Amino acid sequence: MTKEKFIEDLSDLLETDVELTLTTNLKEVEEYDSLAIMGLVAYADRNFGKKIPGEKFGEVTDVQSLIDILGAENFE
Amino acid sequence: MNSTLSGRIVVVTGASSGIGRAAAIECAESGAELVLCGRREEALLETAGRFPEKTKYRICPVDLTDHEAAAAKLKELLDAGGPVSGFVHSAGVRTSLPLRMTEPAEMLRDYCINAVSGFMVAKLLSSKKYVCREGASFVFIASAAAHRGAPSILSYCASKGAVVSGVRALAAELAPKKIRVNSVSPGFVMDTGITRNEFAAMPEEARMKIEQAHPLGLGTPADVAKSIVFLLSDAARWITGTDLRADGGYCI
Repeated sequence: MTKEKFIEDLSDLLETDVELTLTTNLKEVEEYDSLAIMGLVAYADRNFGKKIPGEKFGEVTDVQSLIDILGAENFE
Repeated sequence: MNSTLSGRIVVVTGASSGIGRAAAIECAESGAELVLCGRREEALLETAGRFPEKTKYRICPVDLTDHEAAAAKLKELLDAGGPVSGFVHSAGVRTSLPLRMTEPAEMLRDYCINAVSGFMVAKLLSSKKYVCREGASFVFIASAAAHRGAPSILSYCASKGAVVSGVRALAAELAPKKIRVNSVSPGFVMDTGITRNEFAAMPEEARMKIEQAHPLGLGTPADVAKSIVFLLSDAARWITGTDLRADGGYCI
């Protein structure tokens, strides 16, 4: 998956008006809440076949760190 | 005509007959603009033909069991209009079979149409892109059968029970977006696609029994439509996650 495609999907998932980039601090994005994290758990499973516990997504800082949690090998 | 829903866009599924049609007409008479969903285009146009003059409406002929195609068609229509303030899920089917004849396929079909298809439309309409930022109200048509059992309607009872339960989950999840979610549980309503044939085919004794089970008598689609418009309106602004029984006392 390209990082651009992921950012687009993340934007849809969060339904945020914030323009997301790799350096956007997700802790400052209001929509990055517990429901969004549950959505990301499902996203990781559906797209990469990875079962990532929700608490891992609570540790993210910027979008790049989220990509690292999902597994850099899954991105071009 | 009144102005209870004036300036609001309301999406109605199952708008081609019965309670869905009555709900659409009641919404139009309350000043709403309608988006009518159903399988049969002609029947949807017939519903629209009963609206007060100057009512704005759009027709969305879709098979709601094809979730992706239905969402795509609905998106296309909604992209051309303003944000949605109301949603009524009235599309439904009723399988009447004794347990010994019931197969998974029938149960899944009822569940898919009565519950899942409505939840999938709610998923689309609750997205930031389509929902009115000032708030919205979603109303699902459940049934008295969700609360009171009867022989031969396992599949229908179970799927309508899923509607009542699912509504509570949605109400909790969508409250931060100011979306209220409720259901209406009608008793036996005359003159709907579901009940007309069933009632006509019953022996006199069975018909009498059903009538006697409704202390206020059998209902009409218009009786249920009034409850739906109430839940859509600001009069219900503090009501969410509830099931309103409009059943003539059937579940007392």
